[in-house]
Amino acid sequence: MNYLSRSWQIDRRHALRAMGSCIALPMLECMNSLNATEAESNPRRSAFIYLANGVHSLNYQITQSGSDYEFSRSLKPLEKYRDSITPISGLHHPGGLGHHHNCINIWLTGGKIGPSHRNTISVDQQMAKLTGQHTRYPSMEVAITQGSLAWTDDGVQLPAMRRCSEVFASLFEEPKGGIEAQRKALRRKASILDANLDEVRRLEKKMGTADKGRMDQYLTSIRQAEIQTRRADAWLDTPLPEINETDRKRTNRDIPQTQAGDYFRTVYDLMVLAFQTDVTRVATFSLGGEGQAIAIPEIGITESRHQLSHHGGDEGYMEKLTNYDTFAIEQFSYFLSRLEETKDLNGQSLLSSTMSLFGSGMAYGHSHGNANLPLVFAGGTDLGLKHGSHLDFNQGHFEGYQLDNPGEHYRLCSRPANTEAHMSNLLLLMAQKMGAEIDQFADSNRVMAL
Amino acid sequence: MTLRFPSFSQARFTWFLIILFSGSLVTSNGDDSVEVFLETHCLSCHGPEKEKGDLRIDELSREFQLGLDSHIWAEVIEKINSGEMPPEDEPQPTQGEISAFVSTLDQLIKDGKAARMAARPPVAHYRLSRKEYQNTIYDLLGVRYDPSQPGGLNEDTLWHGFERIGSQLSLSPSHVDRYFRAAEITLDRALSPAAEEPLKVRMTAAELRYNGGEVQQEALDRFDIKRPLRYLHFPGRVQPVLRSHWFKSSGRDQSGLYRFRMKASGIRPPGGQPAHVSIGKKTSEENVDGLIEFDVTASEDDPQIYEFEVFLEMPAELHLAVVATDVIDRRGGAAFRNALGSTGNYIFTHSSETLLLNPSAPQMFDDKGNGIFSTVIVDWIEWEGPIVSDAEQSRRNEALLPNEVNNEGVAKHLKAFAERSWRRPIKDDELDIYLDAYRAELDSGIASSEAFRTALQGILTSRHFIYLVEGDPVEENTVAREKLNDWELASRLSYFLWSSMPDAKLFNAAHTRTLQGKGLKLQVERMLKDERFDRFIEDFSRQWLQLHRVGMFPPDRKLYPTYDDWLEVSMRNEPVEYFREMLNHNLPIDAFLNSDWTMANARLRDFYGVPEPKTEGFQRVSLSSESSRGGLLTMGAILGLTSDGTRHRPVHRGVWLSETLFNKTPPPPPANVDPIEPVPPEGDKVTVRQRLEVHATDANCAGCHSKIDPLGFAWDNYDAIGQWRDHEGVPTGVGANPLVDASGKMPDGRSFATPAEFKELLLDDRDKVARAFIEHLCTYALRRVLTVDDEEDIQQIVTEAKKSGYQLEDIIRHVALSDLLQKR
Repeated sequence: MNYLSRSWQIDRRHALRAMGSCIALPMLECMNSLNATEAESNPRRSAFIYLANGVHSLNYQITQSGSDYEFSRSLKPLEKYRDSITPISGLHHPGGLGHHHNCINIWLTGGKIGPSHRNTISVDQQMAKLTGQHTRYPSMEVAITQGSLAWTDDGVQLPAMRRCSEVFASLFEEPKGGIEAQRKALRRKASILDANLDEVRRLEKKMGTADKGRMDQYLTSIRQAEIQTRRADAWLDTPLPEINETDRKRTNRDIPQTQAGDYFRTVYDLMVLAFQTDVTRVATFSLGGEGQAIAIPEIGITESRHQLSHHGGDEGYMEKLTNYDTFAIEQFSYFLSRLEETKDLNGQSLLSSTMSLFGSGMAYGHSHGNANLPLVFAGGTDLGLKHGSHLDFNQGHFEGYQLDNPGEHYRLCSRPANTEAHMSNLLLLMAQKMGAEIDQFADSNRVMAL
Repeated sequence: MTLRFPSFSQARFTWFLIILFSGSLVTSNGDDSVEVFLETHCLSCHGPEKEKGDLRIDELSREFQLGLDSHIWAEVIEKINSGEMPPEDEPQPTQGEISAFVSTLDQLIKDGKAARMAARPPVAHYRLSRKEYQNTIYDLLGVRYDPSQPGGLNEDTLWHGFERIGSQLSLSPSHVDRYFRAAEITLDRALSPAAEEPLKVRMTAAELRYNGGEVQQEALDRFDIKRPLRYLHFPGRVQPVLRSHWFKSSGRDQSGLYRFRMKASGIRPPGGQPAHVSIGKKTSEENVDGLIEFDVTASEDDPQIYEFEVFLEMPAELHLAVVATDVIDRRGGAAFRNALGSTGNYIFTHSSETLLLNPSAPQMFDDKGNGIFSTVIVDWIEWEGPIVSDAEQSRRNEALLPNEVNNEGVAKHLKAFAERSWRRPIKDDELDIYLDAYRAELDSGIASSEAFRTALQGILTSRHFIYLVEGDPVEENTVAREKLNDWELASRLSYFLWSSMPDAKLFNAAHTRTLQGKGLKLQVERMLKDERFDRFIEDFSRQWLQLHRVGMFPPDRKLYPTYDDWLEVSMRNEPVEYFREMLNHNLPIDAFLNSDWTMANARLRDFYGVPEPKTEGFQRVSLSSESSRGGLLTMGAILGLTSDGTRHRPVHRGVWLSETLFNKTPPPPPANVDPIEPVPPEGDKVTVRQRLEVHATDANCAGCHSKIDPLGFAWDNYDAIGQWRDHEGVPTGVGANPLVDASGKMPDGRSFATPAEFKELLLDDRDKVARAFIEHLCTYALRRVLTVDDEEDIQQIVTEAKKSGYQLEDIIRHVALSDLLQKR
């Protein structure tokens, strides 16, 4: 079948014009998307899940490195996935040290934060540049509260979806008014965007080389939006995946924030559904922002996570924080189980084709320690990952864990023992496994080996 | 010792210039004598070996025309000049060496500045903030649209609370999509034929609560009760007050202004708070976000009709909640909830008849008829809308393509619309692309009105609409103009004072070239009197004071049981109302720092312990001489936003004060700070201050903290929600809660013992505060961070403002009329 015979293809006039401008790349991407409906033999996928405010590290830290490690209290729910996961200790983002709650903004970017710095592209978006050519949507962003984890090349944060019904609609809802009406609307949009592009190009000619920064951004954004519009047009002829009644009922609904467990699991279900039907291959999920990660009344936690993290040494708070950590990790374990039991369009288990990274940009919330980040890396064995060990970058750089001496351990969570162990090395590894041909991501200084 | 960054942050500048000169490498070409001095006296501590205060002078940019580090160089001059550097225990330069060094370096900075001014980009783009977009659409099309709802426009990136800083407001493909969508929605609204009659729905208590009430009416008849059924609503649960299916039609095109009316009365327990109603979107089982807020003070026997106008994005589902500190929640009030909460079982007409009607239910009233909880009695609610005013309709009509119009007429009509949208005259060929799009649509068989909409959508998604564009393209190597043209000035003034586009009169002034001298003064006076100036009051005060942070870390319910949503909303409004009151009376800015009055509603008066008012809403109240309030700094909102919901944060308070009052942002903490350890349960109770002081004895920390922390310690008598206290409540540790110590020393050595004394010291600094305030205003008006290059212009405004005693309205007037405001 030839879905893509006619008008949506870039015509010659268009192509020539794009080549004359400074943004040739998006045009190539657009050409590439001719392959959009060809099923790729081995789809690779990535999911990122963020837990705000660090963890109660004394109950979270695994102390032995290598394959014979013992699960800590908070990580216990993951024990059954020992062979499919790699808990990682000792990583940090140099740009995050001393920057408190900004850590969420650079968790996937490895960028620098500050008055004179602008954020950079997040690794999920780096991946989406590749996978987006094969799927209906380049990526999905969910955050229960506050912003998403995803940032563009220009350091602009992508908007997040919150409600499960909203996520469902964005992925699986039929276009309004049928395909023809939708096509007409998309064509109209493309022609308007095209007109606006034309206008800027004319200005460009008059402007010479100075101050094109903001205009370049404008130009690229419109151009990208136009490409996405044309892609959406092309996808119109491909029927939306069919979602069976059970899945639809389970995921297409709104869950109040007071039912945290159900909420977490339903978002995970939506991610699984998106991967299973291949509408996207990249997903980010923030369980809640640094300031407003929700309470979990069902296990007796009525405080916000932020409040618990500033426990001030209060035993009750530290216990609750540990319970919160454990609860969140339990739900992550649920995600892994759903990935494991679900097959993609090629009949492969999603767990082995999907890399998942769960963790936080903070380790010790009480005084905003941003080193020794709590991270769990899971799945993706088809991509050549070997799990089963606790990967500990602190080893060889300190005297060993001193969980009975909290001050010492908190120090480890605030100042990196191993200053070379950048989290960007892990992000680089993930990007490469997704097929990105890059040898540097943000401030990476080597690619992490796994 | 550390070098402090001066008032102007490098933020805008570096970013800007990085774009401008991306690729150019910074090389060393500083004057030799300067380099020799630096080598001899500075680099041993601020160089490759040591990096004191995070400063490496060897790495500072010597390309002075780029201005990358001008502000740091200026600080270097100041430190050398004042003798603060080199430190006493280092070899000292001679007086002659110092003056040679300072004058050479100063000249280099000045030359760089001149080169930079000449190199200002020929065209600058400043994107509209979300709020400005909303206002502009309303003023242009007479259409209400809420860009902050899900799927609307992306949130603006804030710079120290400011929403409109050009360098922060960038664009991504998702922005483009959303602008496109927004234009589609707003044009739909503007161009859809006007409804003859607004829709009207009334729901009685019987319908809301008793499923029609037939069964309950039988009960009333049995007891021969003549009073009608009413709905007793209790705090701790929400009730739908607007449902889409109540309306004949509730699609997106029904969005607009709605009139809400409710006949209700309130029960107030003795000594308790008046019943407060919040109506908005449901946020949890017990809460809503407050779209409409009011106290219900009418008595049970004399219910009142409460009326509000509110903008609704349809379809909408709204709920009502009674906000009170005594919430009947799942944990504490299960019996009440069960009895009152199930539909129709609990019958209510009047407090005197409840026992008769509900003999087995828990009592809501004591034997004297007093309520036990704050409750609201609803008789009926009513919605009417969407209401379109004549002024709005006429603006909509202007966008509509007239019937029977020829090609020329279409072009003319489009041009008129584009000139208002782009806020400037338009050359004929500029619109060709949109007319082409229009014709293409026509050719494909689409009706002309529909096709014209495509062209309008193009206008509204063009960079000329979503950005404020200043400057013209120029030939390479020619100097761009320094001043705004009349049209650009009109927009700058209107976005400064109205957060929106110019109106017809302002456009006319630009057109007739009378936006200068006396004509400019007339326009500014008119703008200050216009009701749109309200937008300035709300937008500027919110952004300047960083009020978006209020409630960002919600207060701990256990520690602060008296804190509720209505208190938070009231707190957030107080500084805005205070600012408005100062403006209305053109008060001197001293009132920011201290006053014997404040603006409060009933909830705040209760919170501050001030006698209650007779009428509702915010009013000016006098504070006694013993009051611990007065001025902005001791308002609940400010004290709360600088806390973390659990504890007060002296460092945050110090930083906020330094930024807001002095426009100085302390440098961020260095990366590798030791963590603060929690107090062990068996240790003595210590205050936050005592723990910080231990922390700040480290020499690396002390340099900055000795300057920041005292500005925060001064408010230690106020807890995390701003309540006064003499002892600091410390949750962990043993022993009594320690006494608060709110004394301290200003960075220049002046000491204070109490918050009141601290306010006095701030008043002595009013010149600095005024200057910083003017800088904030200019940043807001110019949509950019100021630089050393603006200093002369700022000084001019400061001088003028001082002559009139730093009166608030005068300051704004001086800024609006200043030379700086006319510059690009």
